[in-house]
Amino acid sequence: MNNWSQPTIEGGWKVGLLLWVLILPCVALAEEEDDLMVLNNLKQMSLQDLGQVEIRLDKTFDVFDGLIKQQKIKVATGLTQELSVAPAVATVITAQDLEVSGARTLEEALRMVPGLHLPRLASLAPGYSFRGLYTMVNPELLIMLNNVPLKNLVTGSRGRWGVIPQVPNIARIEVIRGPGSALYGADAFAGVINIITKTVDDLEGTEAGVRVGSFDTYEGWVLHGGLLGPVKMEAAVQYRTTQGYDAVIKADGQTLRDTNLLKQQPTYQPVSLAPGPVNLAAKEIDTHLDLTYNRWQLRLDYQGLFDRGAGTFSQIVEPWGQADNTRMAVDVLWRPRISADWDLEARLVYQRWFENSELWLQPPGAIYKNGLYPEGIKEHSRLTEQEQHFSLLGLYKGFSSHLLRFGVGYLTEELSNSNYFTNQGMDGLGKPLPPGGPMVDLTDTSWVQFPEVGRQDKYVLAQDSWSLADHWELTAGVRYDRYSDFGATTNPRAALVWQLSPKFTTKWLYGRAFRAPTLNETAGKSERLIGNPQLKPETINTYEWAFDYRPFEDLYLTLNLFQYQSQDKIKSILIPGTQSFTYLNYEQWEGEGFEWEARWKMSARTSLLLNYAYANVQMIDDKKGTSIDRGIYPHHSAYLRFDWLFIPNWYFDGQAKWVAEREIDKASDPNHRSLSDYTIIDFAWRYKNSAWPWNVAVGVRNVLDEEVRELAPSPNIPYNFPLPERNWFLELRYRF
Amino acid sequence: MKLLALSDKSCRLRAVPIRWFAVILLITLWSYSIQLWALTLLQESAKEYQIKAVYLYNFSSFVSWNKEAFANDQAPFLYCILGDNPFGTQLDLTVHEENVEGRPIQTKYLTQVEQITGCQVVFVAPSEETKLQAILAYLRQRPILTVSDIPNFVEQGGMIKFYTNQRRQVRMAIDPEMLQKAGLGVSGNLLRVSEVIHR
Repeated sequence: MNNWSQPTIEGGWKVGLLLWVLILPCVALAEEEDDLMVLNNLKQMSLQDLGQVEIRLDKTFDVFDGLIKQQKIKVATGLTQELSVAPAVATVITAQDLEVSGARTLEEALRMVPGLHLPRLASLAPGYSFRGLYTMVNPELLIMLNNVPLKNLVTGSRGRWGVIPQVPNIARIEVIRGPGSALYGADAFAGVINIITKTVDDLEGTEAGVRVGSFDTYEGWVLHGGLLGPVKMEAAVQYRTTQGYDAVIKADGQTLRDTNLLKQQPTYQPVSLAPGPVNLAAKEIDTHLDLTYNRWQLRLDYQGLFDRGAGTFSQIVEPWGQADNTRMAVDVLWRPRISADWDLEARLVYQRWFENSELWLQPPGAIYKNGLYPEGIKEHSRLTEQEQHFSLLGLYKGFSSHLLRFGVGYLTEELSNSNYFTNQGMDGLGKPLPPGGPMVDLTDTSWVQFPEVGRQDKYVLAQDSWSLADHWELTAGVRYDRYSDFGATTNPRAALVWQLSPKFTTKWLYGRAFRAPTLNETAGKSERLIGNPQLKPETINTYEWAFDYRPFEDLYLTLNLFQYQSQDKIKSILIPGTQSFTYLNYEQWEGEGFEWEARWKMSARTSLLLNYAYANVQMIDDKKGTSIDRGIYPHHSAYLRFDWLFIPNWYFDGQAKWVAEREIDKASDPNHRSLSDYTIIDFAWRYKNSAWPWNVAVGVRNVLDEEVRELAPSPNIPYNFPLPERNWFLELRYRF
Repeated sequence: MKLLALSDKSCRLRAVPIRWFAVILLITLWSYSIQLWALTLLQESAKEYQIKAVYLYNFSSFVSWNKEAFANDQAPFLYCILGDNPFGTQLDLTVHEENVEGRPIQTKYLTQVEQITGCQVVFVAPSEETKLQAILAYLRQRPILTVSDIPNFVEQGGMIKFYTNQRRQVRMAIDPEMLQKAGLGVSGNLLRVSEVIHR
């Protein structure tokens, strides 16, 4: 069956009906909302009656104006600029967007970004795919927390388990859909997501909140902003515990092995737990302290993920495996003032990650290479990652038509304390371990999973924002990085922004970006994966043409076309004649498409956000001379968000995300998997009253209980990953 | 093997759309009924500066100016906003095509207090809070009604202050003595609905 063409229509009717249900009553009301009519009503009133009229809540929670309001963004150039003229294709998500939509995780928060797809990693943690750029461990984008990269040195992404800041303390999220290496260096490849936490300016006083929801999910947080004498302080403690949703995997890697073993030995007892649910339970803590004194700022972070179920990390259903992953960061900033023309920022960041995982590669009772493993095949690994980053950034404002930005930096990355225990494979001397034996410590042997290596990066960057003429601005920048392991890379950018009228802006953008090979890819030496020190960075050249148009005060339209070529993709390849893999710069990808968005304040109490994205990505194999569609990303995606103040103080938010036309190359997929289109519809209701310190919300996710599946990175999970079924939450916040 | 025989069974049977039509119909009916209810309730609420604009407009009826307050018989009745305009277009919409005793009402947006020539009502915007003492000193004893929503406006020598109470209603505090000193008459109806402050 052609699994993707038919549901296109199905997804379509759901979105269409949702639009009809939500918008029809409101269009009828829009006229009622006319300011003139309100004023005329007020003018008819006596002074006494006028004193009884309540101020509408818009002032305290103006989600409708907020949606169309001109947003400011800093991530595009390092300068605060209006989004419409910033030289980037970007999206800003505010705390208000997060609150009204009831977003509980970063994943839910980012759903509104046009063309951003959220696939799944092997652990079922979310991945982030811009414009079809996505591979198994998802190192193609840079996620930063207050400008500090959240990057795992082994995978180049957020790690295998995904330690991610929690939502209550997020003030805003700035997203660039496109390259950012000219400013941010490595891995600002397909996109940049900068998460900015609240400061005392966003939060004066204390907010406490609790949330309970399906899958035994409990969350609690306390945020506080205030003054400690001359020191501005913001502190946050956030905790979350969940049993995880019921992700039932129908068949797994063990099913496949069981099938083969049964063929050889009809008396064999299958040991796979599939069909069965995978373990996605987790406990998460996220604490943050932000102190600002005069020209100094200190930020301390501690994020921890504990007892995280292994998901299907080992390609099997196994409820026993667990992982811990913690991050600690110290970030010191100093902004000395040397003259009115110079803004300087010196920064020192220290980050330390610790990962500890115990995984079952095969379940108890498994037979592997004719040996029985009564306790299963297990591995236990520990790893510490450390990163120090010093940077000095300067902005020179002394020329009337130029804004110059300079920077230098030094970065060290280091893997240490790599421990590895297993009960299968080779012992430290290269002798095979006996089947069913105890766990063996392979730490400090050549069989350890992760290498204890490090590297340094030195960089310089420069950027000029040049006002060429009235309404014309050219931004040109370049960054040069020299890594101690793979060498140097230079990444330029150029952007021409033309503001034809206050309502209409067009931008032409070019940027080159790179993804650094990870320490595992260059220096890995596990039994199965051997690093390649000759690897070059992956590069991408992106060209964009963007339009930003406000035909009316209440309507905001954007459109951007993009085209990119990505070279030297890093791929794992089986070394001929062995069972080991290594990495090679192998493929070339070419992509093109567009993203369109409309934001419309339909009335003083209703607003609508609608976006649609199209992408087409081809993989070009230089050696074979072939070009095939990358396939597994959504060719089409759309998002609809509707906000409505339906009675005073009561807000409704409805969201629909439609994902369509994902294809898995049938020729290369041994199980001939396919992925259906889907539409997820979410509702949230919120009561918020500025005269009352409580704020209450109820949300239902996946209202239609749609069966939603995302690609399992391994073909050994033939039916892919299910996403959560219909679920709900209740949220309570208190301000004091 | 059975488990690996991939077919359409990999997708659960789709829910019958009819069921969802029913659900959606119910939601629609529900939302319409809520709308009707909401309409009646919402008449009791408005934007903060809509309410304030209408109060300002009403002052032209509840406060009286001498003939000397106007340059001549044809001079318009002038509302002046000093500082960053917080009203947007609401004040203009409120007074559009209105008049006071035959004088057309006009609005003027000022950046300096020295530009007040011809104004009958000056609204001092919140942006001017730091300059308030100087502004009030300049305006003192002129036949100009001074209004603001700056806290302590009346305490510092202004005439009428808007404030928001716990129920988010806009109320007024007034110092009748200041109006009297400026030669302005004030109606008892205005005093009755205001908090009267004697400094």
